[in-house]
Amino acid sequence: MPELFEDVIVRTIARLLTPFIQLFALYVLMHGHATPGGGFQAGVIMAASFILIAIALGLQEAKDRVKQKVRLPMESFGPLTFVVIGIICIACGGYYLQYTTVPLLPSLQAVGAILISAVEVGIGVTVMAMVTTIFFSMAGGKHA
Amino acid sequence: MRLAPLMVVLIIGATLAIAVAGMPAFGSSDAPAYTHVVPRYLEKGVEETGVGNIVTAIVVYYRGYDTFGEVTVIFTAGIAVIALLGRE
Repeated sequence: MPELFEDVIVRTIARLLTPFIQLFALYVLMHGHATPGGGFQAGVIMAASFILIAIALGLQEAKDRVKQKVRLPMESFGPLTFVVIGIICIACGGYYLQYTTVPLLPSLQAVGAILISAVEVGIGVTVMAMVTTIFFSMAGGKHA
Repeated sequence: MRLAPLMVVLIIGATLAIAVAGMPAFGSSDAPAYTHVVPRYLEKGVEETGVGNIVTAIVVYYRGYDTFGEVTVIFTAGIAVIALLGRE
Protein backbone atom coordinates (compact mmCIF):
# COMPACT_ATOMS: atom_id res chain seq x y z
CA MET A 1 0.00 0.00 0.00
CA PRO A 2 1.35 3.46 -0.82
CA GLU A 3 2.28 5.69 2.10
CA LEU A 4 -0.64 7.55 3.57
CA PHE A 5 -0.95 11.28 3.58
CA GLU A 6 -0.37 12.24 7.17
CA ASP A 7 -1.26 15.82 6.27
CA VAL A 8 -4.31 16.75 8.30
CA ILE A 9 -5.53 19.18 5.63
CA VAL A 10 -5.64 16.53 2.93
CA ARG A 11 -7.39 14.04 5.17
CA THR A 12 -9.96 16.53 6.45
CA ILE A 13 -10.77 17.94 3.03
CA ALA A 14 -11.12 14.47 1.55
CA ARG A 15 -13.44 13.41 4.36
CA LEU A 16 -15.52 16.58 3.98
CA LEU A 17 -15.69 16.47 0.21
CA THR A 18 -16.69 12.84 -0.20
CA PRO A 19 -20.41 13.16 0.69
CA PHE A 20 -20.81 16.05 -1.73
CA ILE A 21 -19.13 14.15 -4.54
CA GLN A 22 -21.46 11.23 -3.90
CA LEU A 23 -24.48 13.52 -3.77
CA PHE A 24 -23.45 15.03 -7.10
CA ALA A 25 -23.11 11.51 -8.53
CA LEU A 26 -26.66 10.70 -7.45
CA TYR A 27 -27.88 13.97 -8.99
CA VAL A 28 -26.16 13.17 -12.28
CA LEU A 29 -27.67 9.71 -12.18
CA MET A 30 -31.26 10.62 -11.37
CA HIS A 31 -31.34 13.75 -13.51
CA GLY A 32 -29.82 12.04 -16.54
CA HIS A 33 -33.13 11.95 -18.37
CA ALA A 34 -33.46 15.75 -18.35
CA THR A 35 -29.94 17.18 -18.23
CA PRO A 36 -26.53 16.03 -19.43
CA GLY A 37 -25.46 12.99 -17.49
CA GLY A 38 -26.45 9.41 -17.08
CA GLY A 39 -25.35 6.08 -15.74
CA PHE A 40 -21.80 5.96 -17.05
CA GLN A 41 -20.89 9.42 -15.83
CA ALA A 42 -22.56 8.98 -12.44
CA GLY A 43 -20.85 5.64 -11.89
CA VAL A 44 -17.45 7.12 -12.57
CA ILE A 45 -18.07 10.12 -10.28
CA MET A 46 -19.19 7.80 -7.51
CA ALA A 47 -16.13 5.59 -8.03
CA ALA A 48 -13.93 8.70 -7.96
CA SER A 49 -15.18 9.49 -4.47
CA PHE A 50 -14.06 6.06 -3.24
CA ILE A 51 -10.73 6.44 -5.01
CA LEU A 52 -10.29 9.79 -3.24
CA ILE A 53 -10.90 8.07 0.08
CA ALA A 54 -8.42 5.35 -0.83
CA ILE A 55 -5.74 7.90 -1.71
CA ALA A 56 -6.26 10.27 1.22
CA LEU A 57 -7.47 8.02 4.04
CA GLY A 58 -6.00 4.69 3.05
CA LEU A 59 -7.03 1.72 0.97
CA GLN A 60 -8.49 -0.16 3.91
CA GLU A 61 -10.81 2.70 4.79
CA ALA A 62 -12.18 2.74 1.22
CA LYS A 63 -12.59 -1.04 1.19
CA ASP A 64 -14.53 -0.83 4.43
CA ARG A 65 -16.89 1.75 2.96
CA VAL A 66 -17.76 -0.34 -0.11
CA LYS A 67 -17.24 -3.93 0.84
CA GLN A 68 -16.34 -6.66 -1.60
CA LYS A 69 -19.41 -8.68 -0.67
CA VAL A 70 -21.59 -5.78 -1.79
CA ARG A 71 -19.49 -4.79 -4.79
CA LEU A 72 -19.34 -8.12 -6.59
CA PRO A 73 -23.13 -8.59 -6.88
CA MET A 74 -23.43 -4.93 -7.93
CA GLU A 75 -21.22 -5.60 -10.95
CA SER A 76 -23.83 -7.79 -12.57
CA PHE A 77 -26.68 -5.43 -11.72
CA GLY A 78 -26.53 -3.40 -14.96
CA PRO A 79 -26.67 -6.21 -17.53
CA LEU A 80 -29.37 -7.93 -15.46
CA THR A 81 -31.48 -4.76 -15.35
CA PHE A 82 -31.17 -4.43 -19.11
CA VAL A 83 -32.16 -8.04 -19.75
CA VAL A 84 -35.07 -8.05 -17.31
CA ILE A 85 -36.53 -4.77 -18.57
CA GLY A 86 -36.02 -5.85 -22.18
CA ILE A 87 -37.85 -9.10 -21.59
CA ILE A 88 -40.66 -7.29 -19.77
CA CYS A 89 -41.04 -5.12 -22.87
CA ILE A 90 -41.29 -8.23 -25.05
CA ALA A 91 -43.84 -9.77 -22.67
CA CYS A 92 -45.97 -6.64 -22.98
CA GLY A 93 -46.11 -6.92 -26.75
CA GLY A 94 -43.32 -4.59 -27.85
CA TYR A 95 -39.82 -5.09 -29.14
CA TYR A 96 -36.81 -5.71 -26.94
CA LEU A 97 -36.17 -2.50 -24.97
CA GLN A 98 -39.23 -0.73 -26.41
CA TYR A 99 -40.02 0.77 -23.03
CA THR A 100 -43.19 2.61 -23.94
CA THR A 101 -45.17 -0.61 -24.43
CA VAL A 102 -45.21 -1.51 -20.73
CA PRO A 103 -48.68 -0.65 -19.35
CA LEU A 104 -47.40 0.51 -15.98
CA LEU A 105 -49.01 3.96 -15.96
CA PRO A 106 -51.64 5.58 -18.16
CA SER A 107 -49.03 7.89 -19.68
CA LEU A 108 -46.67 5.93 -21.89
CA GLN A 109 -44.12 8.74 -21.83
CA ALA A 110 -43.93 8.54 -18.03
CA VAL A 111 -43.36 4.78 -18.34
CA GLY A 112 -40.56 5.42 -20.80
CA ALA A 113 -38.93 7.96 -18.50
CA ILE A 114 -39.19 5.65 -15.48
CA LEU A 115 -37.79 2.61 -17.25
CA ILE A 116 -35.00 4.61 -18.90
CA SER A 117 -34.07 5.93 -15.45
CA ALA A 118 -34.11 2.37 -14.10
CA VAL A 119 -31.74 1.25 -16.83
CA GLU A 120 -29.49 4.24 -16.09
CA VAL A 121 -29.38 3.26 -12.42
CA GLY A 122 -28.32 -0.24 -13.42
CA ILE A 123 -25.58 1.13 -15.67
CA GLY A 124 -24.38 3.47 -12.91
CA VAL A 125 -24.21 0.72 -10.29
CA THR A 126 -22.25 -1.55 -12.63
CA VAL A 127 -19.78 1.15 -13.64
CA MET A 128 -19.24 2.23 -10.02
CA ALA A 129 -18.59 -1.33 -8.83
CA MET A 130 -16.34 -2.11 -11.79
CA VAL A 131 -14.14 0.99 -11.52
CA THR A 132 -13.70 0.64 -7.74
CA THR A 133 -12.96 -3.07 -8.07
CA ILE A 134 -10.31 -2.49 -10.73
CA PHE A 135 -8.74 0.28 -8.64
CA PHE A 136 -8.70 -1.78 -5.45
CA SER A 137 -7.29 -4.80 -7.29
CA MET A 138 -4.47 -2.82 -8.87
CA ALA A 139 -3.75 -0.53 -5.90
CA GLY A 140 -3.27 -3.46 -3.55
CA GLY A 141 0.32 -4.26 -4.46
CA LYS A 142 2.20 -6.83 -2.45
CA HIS A 143 1.10 -5.52 0.91
CA ALA A 144 -2.63 -5.75 0.34
CA MET B 1 13.54 -3.73 -51.63
CA ARG B 2 12.34 -0.77 -49.58
CA LEU B 3 10.52 0.66 -52.58
CA ALA B 4 7.51 -1.67 -52.51
CA PRO B 5 6.29 -0.72 -48.98
CA LEU B 6 6.82 2.95 -49.82
CA MET B 7 4.70 2.62 -52.95
CA VAL B 8 1.94 0.86 -51.00
CA VAL B 9 1.91 3.62 -48.41
CA LEU B 10 1.92 6.35 -51.06
CA ILE B 11 -0.93 4.77 -53.04
CA ILE B 12 -3.09 4.25 -49.96
CA GLY B 13 -2.31 7.76 -48.77
CA ALA B 14 -3.19 9.29 -52.13
CA THR B 15 -6.46 7.34 -52.19
CA LEU B 16 -7.38 8.60 -48.73
CA ALA B 17 -6.45 12.18 -49.63
CA ILE B 18 -8.69 12.02 -52.71
CA ALA B 19 -11.52 10.50 -50.67
CA VAL B 20 -11.27 13.23 -48.02
CA ALA B 21 -11.82 15.85 -50.72
CA GLY B 22 -15.23 14.28 -51.42
CA MET B 23 -16.45 14.52 -47.85
CA PRO B 24 -19.05 17.14 -46.85
CA ALA B 25 -17.70 20.33 -45.36
CA PHE B 26 -17.06 20.38 -41.63
CA GLY B 27 -20.26 21.15 -39.77
CA SER B 28 -22.35 21.09 -42.95
CA SER B 29 -26.02 20.47 -42.23
CA ASP B 30 -26.35 18.59 -45.54
CA ALA B 31 -24.03 15.81 -44.42
CA PRO B 32 -25.66 12.36 -44.57
CA ALA B 33 -25.15 11.97 -40.83
CA TYR B 34 -27.52 14.87 -40.17
CA THR B 35 -30.17 14.09 -42.76
CA HIS B 36 -30.87 10.41 -42.19
CA VAL B 37 -32.39 9.74 -38.75
CA VAL B 38 -31.43 12.81 -36.74
CA PRO B 39 -34.40 14.98 -37.79
CA ARG B 40 -36.81 12.27 -36.72
CA TYR B 41 -35.09 11.87 -33.34
CA LEU B 42 -35.24 15.61 -32.76
CA GLU B 43 -38.88 15.93 -33.80
CA LYS B 44 -40.35 12.83 -32.16
CA GLY B 45 -37.83 11.98 -29.45
CA VAL B 46 -39.71 13.44 -26.49
CA GLU B 47 -43.02 12.11 -27.73
CA GLU B 48 -41.76 8.57 -28.28
CA THR B 49 -39.39 8.09 -25.36
CA GLY B 50 -40.67 10.47 -22.68
CA VAL B 51 -37.26 11.85 -21.76
CA GLY B 52 -36.23 15.41 -22.53
CA ASN B 53 -32.51 14.76 -22.89
CA ILE B 54 -32.10 13.66 -26.50
CA VAL B 55 -28.71 12.10 -25.78
CA THR B 56 -30.19 9.82 -23.15
CA ALA B 57 -33.11 9.04 -25.46
CA ILE B 58 -30.76 7.93 -28.22
CA VAL B 59 -28.32 6.09 -25.97
CA VAL B 60 -30.84 4.12 -23.93
CA TYR B 61 -33.91 3.96 -26.18
CA TYR B 62 -33.03 4.10 -29.88
CA ARG B 63 -29.58 2.59 -29.40
CA GLY B 64 -30.52 0.34 -26.51
CA TYR B 65 -28.82 -2.72 -27.93
CA ASP B 66 -25.58 -0.81 -28.27
CA THR B 67 -25.68 0.40 -24.67
CA PHE B 68 -26.51 -3.10 -23.51
CA GLY B 69 -23.36 -4.24 -25.28
CA GLU B 70 -21.31 -1.49 -23.64
CA VAL B 71 -22.51 -2.47 -20.18
CA THR B 72 -21.69 -6.08 -20.95
CA VAL B 73 -18.19 -5.05 -22.05
CA ILE B 74 -17.66 -3.19 -18.75
CA PHE B 75 -19.03 -6.15 -16.83
CA THR B 76 -16.67 -8.49 -18.69
CA ALA B 77 -13.72 -6.19 -18.03
CA GLY B 78 -14.49 -6.22 -14.32
CA ILE B 79 -14.84 -10.01 -14.29
CA ALA B 80 -11.53 -10.35 -16.13
CA VAL B 81 -9.74 -8.10 -13.62
CA ILE B 82 -11.21 -10.10 -10.73
CA ALA B 83 -10.13 -13.35 -12.39
CA LEU B 84 -6.59 -12.16 -13.10
CA LEU B 85 -5.85 -9.93 -10.10
CA GLY B 86 -8.48 -11.10 -7.65
CA ARG B 87 -6.39 -10.77 -4.53
CA GLU B 88 -8.15 -8.23 -2.42
